[in-house]
Amino acid sequence: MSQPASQTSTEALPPPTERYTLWGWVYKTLLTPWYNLLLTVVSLWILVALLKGTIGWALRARWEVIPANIRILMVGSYPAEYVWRVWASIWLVAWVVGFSWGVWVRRRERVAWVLLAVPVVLAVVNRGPARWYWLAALALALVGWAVGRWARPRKGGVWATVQWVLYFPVFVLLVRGWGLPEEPAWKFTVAVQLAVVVASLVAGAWAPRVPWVAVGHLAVLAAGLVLGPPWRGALLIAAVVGFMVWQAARRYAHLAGIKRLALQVTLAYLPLLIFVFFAYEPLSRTWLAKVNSNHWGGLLLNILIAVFGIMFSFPLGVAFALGRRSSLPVVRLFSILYIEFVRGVPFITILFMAQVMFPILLPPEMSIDRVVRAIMGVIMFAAAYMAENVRGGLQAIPKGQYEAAHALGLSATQTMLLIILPQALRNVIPVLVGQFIGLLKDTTLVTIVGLLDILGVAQSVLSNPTWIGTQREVYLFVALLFWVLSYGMSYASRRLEQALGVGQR
Amino acid sequence: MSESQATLNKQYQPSVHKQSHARYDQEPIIIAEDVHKWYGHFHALKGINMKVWPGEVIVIFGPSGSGKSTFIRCINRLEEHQKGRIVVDGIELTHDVRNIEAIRREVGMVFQQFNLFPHLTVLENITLAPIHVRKWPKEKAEKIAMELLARVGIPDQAHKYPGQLSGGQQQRVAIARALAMQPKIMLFDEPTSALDPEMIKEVLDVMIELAQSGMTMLVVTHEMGFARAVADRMFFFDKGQVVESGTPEEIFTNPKEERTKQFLAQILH
Repeated sequence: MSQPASQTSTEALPPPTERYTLWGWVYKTLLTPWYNLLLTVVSLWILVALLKGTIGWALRARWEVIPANIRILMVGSYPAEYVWRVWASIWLVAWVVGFSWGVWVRRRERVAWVLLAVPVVLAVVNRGPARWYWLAALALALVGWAVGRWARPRKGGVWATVQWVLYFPVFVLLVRGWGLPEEPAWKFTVAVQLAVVVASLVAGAWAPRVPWVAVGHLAVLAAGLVLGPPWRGALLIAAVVGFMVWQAARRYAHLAGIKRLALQVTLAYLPLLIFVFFAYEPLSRTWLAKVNSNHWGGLLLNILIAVFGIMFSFPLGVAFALGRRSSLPVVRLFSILYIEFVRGVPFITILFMAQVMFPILLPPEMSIDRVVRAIMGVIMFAAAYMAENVRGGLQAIPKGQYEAAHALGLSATQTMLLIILPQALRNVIPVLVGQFIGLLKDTTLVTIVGLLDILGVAQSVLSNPTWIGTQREVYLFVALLFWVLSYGMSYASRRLEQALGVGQR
Repeated sequence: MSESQATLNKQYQPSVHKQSHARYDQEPIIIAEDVHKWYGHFHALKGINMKVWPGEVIVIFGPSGSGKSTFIRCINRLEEHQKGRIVVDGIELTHDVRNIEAIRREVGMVFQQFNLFPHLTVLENITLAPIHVRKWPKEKAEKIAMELLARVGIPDQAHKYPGQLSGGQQQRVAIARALAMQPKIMLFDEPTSALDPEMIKEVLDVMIELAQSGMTMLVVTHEMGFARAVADRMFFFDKGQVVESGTPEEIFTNPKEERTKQFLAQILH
């Protein structure tokens, strides 16, 4: 649509467009002039030379090594009779993702098809029961989506958040299972602990202006000291948690839903008691028996370490970033020392130190197992880098934002939580996600301290005489898995940036 | 008619019938006594004395670096004065954080650079402080926010983000945001200096409407048309001191100090 060149009217013109047919594009960019043609021929020749060998190898490779060892690659030496618990955690996440999608996104976007393709592809690739388990995950995701669509947006949003918050403890519970407490009176101590917490919640929600509830907490503490173990520790925890719950309930007592929540929790107390007294013990002997962490392995271990590493290093990193900018000299100095110390030490050194140092630092009766030690090392390491990334985001916030917030009467905490951190964190999403991806890939380094993560399992598979000479197949498979997971995270972060309008507002 | 009066007429000309709302029979709402402020060795405020009565509109003007912004930022403690005392609405500004927060709840402020929160919509910008500081229910805060947006003339922009608005619209949102806390005093720190000439008028119109509603206002500005239209008193700052103060008539028609005459001649030329 070209206009005559002589036209001088002020009306708006459409922008000039250039349209190509496919052949037109090929002709213009690949075949003319002569040097483009030459480059095309040379490039094609190199491509063919490279691909010929690769494709030839891929066709002759012993891919059967993967299905033969898929279970130990995925979960290590996790007992076969409890693998269903890992499946259950996958089904749960499928449900939660589907439900949240239905509530928050509501539309059928292209991403939805990508997400749905994951279980479909896995169902096609797998054989035997695994195929049906993946189809079950697919079905749960679809049902979750339908339920999410059907739920009212506001209530559904609350439910989706609750499910995500609950998912991680439930995931750990399923994977780890339950041990039986050694203390014979544990049922009674737990019942009393729960009672103190419920009573604190009710008191805070219904009578927020009564300050002497704190005397009750002191009384619980005193009773614990008088009664001695096992009540001493139990009541100490009950008093501290109860006090915190009470304070939180008082603070938010003006919100509409808090009284109803207190009522619901009170009503839930009785079923909880029945569970503690009658269901916990049989369950912990049968279905949910404890699987010690030395049996956790394969990709499951990588994902566990990464999930915990991300979940805990993120708040810790934010805390250190704020600490480094604090006006309190002790806090600032401690933050700087921590960050600079951790950043000055290689990750592998920290992993080794976590294995040998934590047992010295902790009292002898408190033993923590090797996996937890490795996770703590990962958290320590990641938190220092996280802190510096977050600090970069904080420094980009202009002084006027603090001034405007203060001028409105917001407290320092409110200013940080409502104004500064949301903007600072939004600005550093690409950096943070880059770090999360790095953290996921770094979890393979725990092989060095003797944990059987997917790389450790791969090495043990390769040392099996049956599978000698299959390094390429196994390592390519591991690489593909990590690529899919990392690319998924990167894709999700880009979608998140778009949703939050980074760089636009 | 003097020369400066004649040039004044060419500038911003609000068509208002001037009427003071100052209540001089009451106690002063702001008392500043011998206020000093140093930045390092630089003596920025050299003993400022000022009393402001409820309903008064005060215009503060002077060359850049004269301490006028520093002074009004001391009133809500964005800057800390090191000597002298400032009493706002009966509360003295000390290191006590509770006093500072109490004063900030009663004193609204509008900045030269707007300082809207870019990650929140216009409506969220306005309701944030009422919800989290005044603890109002969200519905009440939103209702009042919509009324304020109507008052500043942009009710249809409530769900946009600040970055999608023009400068003049952003500054009007900033005024609405400060008013949402229902302050007793409004501070304006060069509210029109960052705006295009076309947008200055829309902001000044809102400020004049506010002045006529009886709000106590301290305005740092060089908009002499605004000053003449609504100011009860004017203060001329130079080198950290009040060089001259008086009614707009006194300042424009009969300035006593040579420095005031020079400065007025420059900005009204």
